[in-house]
Amino acid sequence: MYRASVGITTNMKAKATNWIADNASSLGIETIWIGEDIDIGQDVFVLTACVLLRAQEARVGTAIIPVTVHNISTLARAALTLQEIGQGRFVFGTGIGGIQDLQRLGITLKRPVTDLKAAVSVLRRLWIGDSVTVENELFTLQDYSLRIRKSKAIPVFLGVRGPKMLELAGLISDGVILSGPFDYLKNAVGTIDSAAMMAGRKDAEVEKVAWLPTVPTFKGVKESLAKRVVSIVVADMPEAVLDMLDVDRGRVDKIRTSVEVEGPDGGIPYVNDELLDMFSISGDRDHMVDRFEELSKIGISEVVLGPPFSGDWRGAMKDIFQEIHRRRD
Amino acid sequence: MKLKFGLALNVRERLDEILRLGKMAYEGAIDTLWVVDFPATRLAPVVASAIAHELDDMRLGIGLVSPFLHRPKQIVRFIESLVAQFGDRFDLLLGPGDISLLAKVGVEVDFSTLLKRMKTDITTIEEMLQNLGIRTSVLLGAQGPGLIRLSTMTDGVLLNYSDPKMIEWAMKRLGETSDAFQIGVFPPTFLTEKDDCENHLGFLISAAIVALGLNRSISKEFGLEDALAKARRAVKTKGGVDSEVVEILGKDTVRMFGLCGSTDETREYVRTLSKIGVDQIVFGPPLGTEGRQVELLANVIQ
Repeated sequence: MYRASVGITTNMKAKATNWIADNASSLGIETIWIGEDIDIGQDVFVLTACVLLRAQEARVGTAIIPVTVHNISTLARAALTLQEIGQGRFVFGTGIGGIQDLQRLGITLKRPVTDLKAAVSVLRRLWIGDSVTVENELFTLQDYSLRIRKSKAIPVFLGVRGPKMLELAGLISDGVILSGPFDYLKNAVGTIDSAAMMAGRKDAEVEKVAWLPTVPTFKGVKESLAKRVVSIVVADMPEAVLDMLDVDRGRVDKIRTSVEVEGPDGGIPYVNDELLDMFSISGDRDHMVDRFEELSKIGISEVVLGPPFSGDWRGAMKDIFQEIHRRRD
Repeated sequence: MKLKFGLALNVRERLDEILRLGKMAYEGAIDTLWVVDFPATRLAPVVASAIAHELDDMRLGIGLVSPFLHRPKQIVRFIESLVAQFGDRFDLLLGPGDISLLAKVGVEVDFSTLLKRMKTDITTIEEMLQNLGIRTSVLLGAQGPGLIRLSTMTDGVLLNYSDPKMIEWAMKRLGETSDAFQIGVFPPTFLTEKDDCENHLGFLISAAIVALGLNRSISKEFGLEDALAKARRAVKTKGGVDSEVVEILGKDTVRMFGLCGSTDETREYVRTLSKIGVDQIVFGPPLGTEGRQVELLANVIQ
């Protein structure tokens, strides 16, 4: 059995995110994952706090807050405060961030895997009350501590894609937030589990969350919205991941170039049905829940119903969660 | 303008304790709860969300927030989000922050461009808020003449000292301001029941930290240069502020930067500040860290 969750992003209006948080219990949403669209929409920390305050039973996690765009002390302080609001329901999901976003912000990392590993290590040390001195290409701390008396256990999930990052997640994380086509996800689960076992961990110790673009076609969602999201996903997909797939590379390259030049809308004309199906979960209610079950069979422990939210998305969400819970019963 | 009272929360307390103290202050007729950001242990916008959720008509101030730590765009986003979620009841206090503590988290601030950068960041933040139609008051935390002058481009100033002479000195430097411009003070505060300010090291250290941040022109104006120079050397050697540093500064000097006294003395102090034209007093740490202190403060202002 898999956990059934909803993903929201800071780019959504407060009215929509509040509706999801307010209805989480009645819908049976087990986790609400919050993605930070850098510099767009709601503040990720305030949004996460509000979701924790409104959805009193659900687990709430960030998926992800890039470690590259906030001071590490801010991330440590934010997570500590959110953990206190959630009283054990908060999960800190982090990662390096999307390629496009980092390029736009002029951030280049020579050693992203090492930097992310260091960031997780530093955060965990700060949360147990350690004083930390560290200097690398991403952050500097000089004898800095949160001055807490009691250590805080905050689960850390990593939003990662490439093989080295997946290995890192298997070695050090409490969970992984994955996105990509089924074949990729299958490989990713294997890589994470192997790394976890190498580190003497049980594979089940590392949760695997799959957040793919989900497009219910039974409640009036426009397909162009799904194509826009798939364009972003394709543009951000590392070469190493694309190499694992049987995919039309010419078309993929056109999408990547267009997104870089014109933004996400530029990729829309090049996303065909094959790519849409490869990089998203779409269709009627039963088909979508079938696909969630397929994900569970390849080792995914949690599936996320996420944006684009369009048409009667509230109705679609209710139907899908009802069907998920009906099949469980 | 009626004198307003604020209380600063969120230094090292746990969130449930912050909420408890916030509720006490709310019931004690405090006008605004100020949620301190860095170097507080908890992130101010998140703490403010929890307080705003709990106290649905309380006015909240966020700050001091440093645009050197949080980019102006991020600051505007959290204010915009707080207003969208909880209504138009937030104020924002900007300031450079404690430069030496910012350096500890990798934020290097160049003194030679500090004022210029603050001016640019304040302009950006105010323009963005205006474009979004958000009416949040933006105040500037200030001590020296540069920041005091800069504060006139905002909705008000919070001065980081308690001595009425120093406050009057700052007000002269402000010159003519509009009626809407808020002049406030934000001193470390401790209310005593036994006339024993000298024994409250937490208060003395908080006030000493403020004193040590004083710039050259104002320390010269008030004859504090020598004491501050000696104390700064001691801080460098010791790696922090302790009772010896307080001794070097001298307790009289320290008390120019912090408010400590009985409830009667504090009432008298409030009257003095009201007479000289102060609009707002924000009682700073360590007062907001103890329930009994908040009770005493409620006695003062009611």
